[in-house]
Amino acid sequence: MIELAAVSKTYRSRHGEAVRAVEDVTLDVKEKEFVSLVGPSGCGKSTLLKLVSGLTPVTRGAIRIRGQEVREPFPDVGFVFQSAVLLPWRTVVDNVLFSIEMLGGSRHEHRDRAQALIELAGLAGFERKYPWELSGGMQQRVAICRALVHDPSILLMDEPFGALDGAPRPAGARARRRAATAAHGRHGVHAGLQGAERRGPEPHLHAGEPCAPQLRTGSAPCWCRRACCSACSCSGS
Amino acid sequence: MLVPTGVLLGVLVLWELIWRVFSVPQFVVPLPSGILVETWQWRGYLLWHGWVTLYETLGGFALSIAVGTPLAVMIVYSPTLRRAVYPLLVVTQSVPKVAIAPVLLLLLGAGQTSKIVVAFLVAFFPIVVDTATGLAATPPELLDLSRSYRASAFKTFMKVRFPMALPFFFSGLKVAVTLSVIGAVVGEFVGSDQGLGYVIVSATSYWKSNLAFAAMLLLAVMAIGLFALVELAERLVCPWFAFSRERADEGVRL
Ligand SMILES: Nc1ncnc2c1ncn2[C@@H]1O[C@H](COP(=O)(O)OP(=O)(O)O)[C@@H](O)[C@H]1O
Ligand SMILES: [Mg+2]
Repeated sequence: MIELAAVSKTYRSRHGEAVRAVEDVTLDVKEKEFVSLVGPSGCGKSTLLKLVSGLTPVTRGAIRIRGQEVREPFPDVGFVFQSAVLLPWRTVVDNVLFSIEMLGGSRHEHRDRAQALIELAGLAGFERKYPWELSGGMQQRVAICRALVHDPSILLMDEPFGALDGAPRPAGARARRRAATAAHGRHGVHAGLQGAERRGPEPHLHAGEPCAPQLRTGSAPCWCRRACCSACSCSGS
Repeated sequence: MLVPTGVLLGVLVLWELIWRVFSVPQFVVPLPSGILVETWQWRGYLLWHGWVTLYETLGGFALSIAVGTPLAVMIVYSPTLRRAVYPLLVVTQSVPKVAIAPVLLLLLGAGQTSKIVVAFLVAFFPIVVDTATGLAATPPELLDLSRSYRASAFKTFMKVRFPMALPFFFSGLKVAVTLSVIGAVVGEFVGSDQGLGYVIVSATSYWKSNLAFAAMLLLAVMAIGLFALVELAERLVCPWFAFSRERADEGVRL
């Protein structure tokens, strides 16, 4: 479904020197597959996601989605950025429905779906709150709902659980699992989990089994490492 | 609010006391009590001239919003225009408005139009600079988000960039509204037979410093009132900004 053929990306820095952010990555992600990108900070995880989403053009190689080459952003994707980037003048519900508005859909028809996602993310009762009334982790969960509300078939998440913060541990774990459930069963590329920095120096790609079965049992931060990265020595914390 | 009011009252009482002890002549600098009495006696006259100045101020202010905001948008969206227009703007700003005012009066006559234009010339620059800064400060991730929906530039502007720039726009308005008052009065100083600027010039030339101070008092009240109105509008239009700022303030106090 998502094919990367020898993809490279070279940024040109302000002083004109070349920054090779991603080099020669080949990857094939199938329908319903859940893939994690693991690697130290600055190894090109965010860049690779931007390439797949079509936000940034590749320097060399090609990215195809369902056989179609990616040249510009396409709406069938949900993107969760490294920070929540919510709109401060919109309530939680309106932030979630932002995707619908920008895609020209009907807010009214998607209200129920938005509400269901908000509840799934453990944000019931916060629908009318503003982003600055939420903790960083709650904001990130709103961003995940926003990326899912238009029912994309691909979900790209850039360290989505990096900001899941200060909530007491059991509540936090539950929230993470809920947020993850929203993503489950989707075919996606999902970059950088917590603790990912412990990996080796190269961008570390690993395609594995769908994670859905583990979702219901394991606790969220380690399920993906256990399920997808069992081949590598990620210790599920 | 309480502390500045107290300080102001203290200064006024001290002023009154010193003047009475050293019997400073009233036509040089009048007594606070004398100014208040004078303001009350001339209230109809002062209000009428105040109305003239207010009209010129608001005219200049409205014109500076109408011209400054689109100019800011153009500067941010077109690098060519930015290179062409920005240096010109800076040059117009570096010419003292007091120096332009007589020329404008020659061009536009001694009526209210020339004062409105002077007020506009003083006020529009901060609106352009602040709005442009705000529009350019949109977080890149937010622009990426907007791009991921393939939203048009217009939609991105309306739904993301402009709302995001509103706090900057309003800080430009706050500076602009006080500058508009100054612009209108400068225009009146140069040549006019009405407005509070005219009242100050004519009262001082007849040694009626009580009346001049009364006009200044009214000008200050007008400037503070307009500033407060813009602040109120800011709270109504972008409450999220005021609230999050208050929360930040509380954090500082704690
Ligand atoms: N817009 C850009 N211009 C220049 N260099 C960039 C840009 N974005 C990222 N880089 C560089 O590319 C490399 C990979 O960055 P990134 O993909 O953000 O890493 P990661 O997400 O894995 O931490 C880094 O060395 C970073 O400095
Ligand atoms: Mg990153």
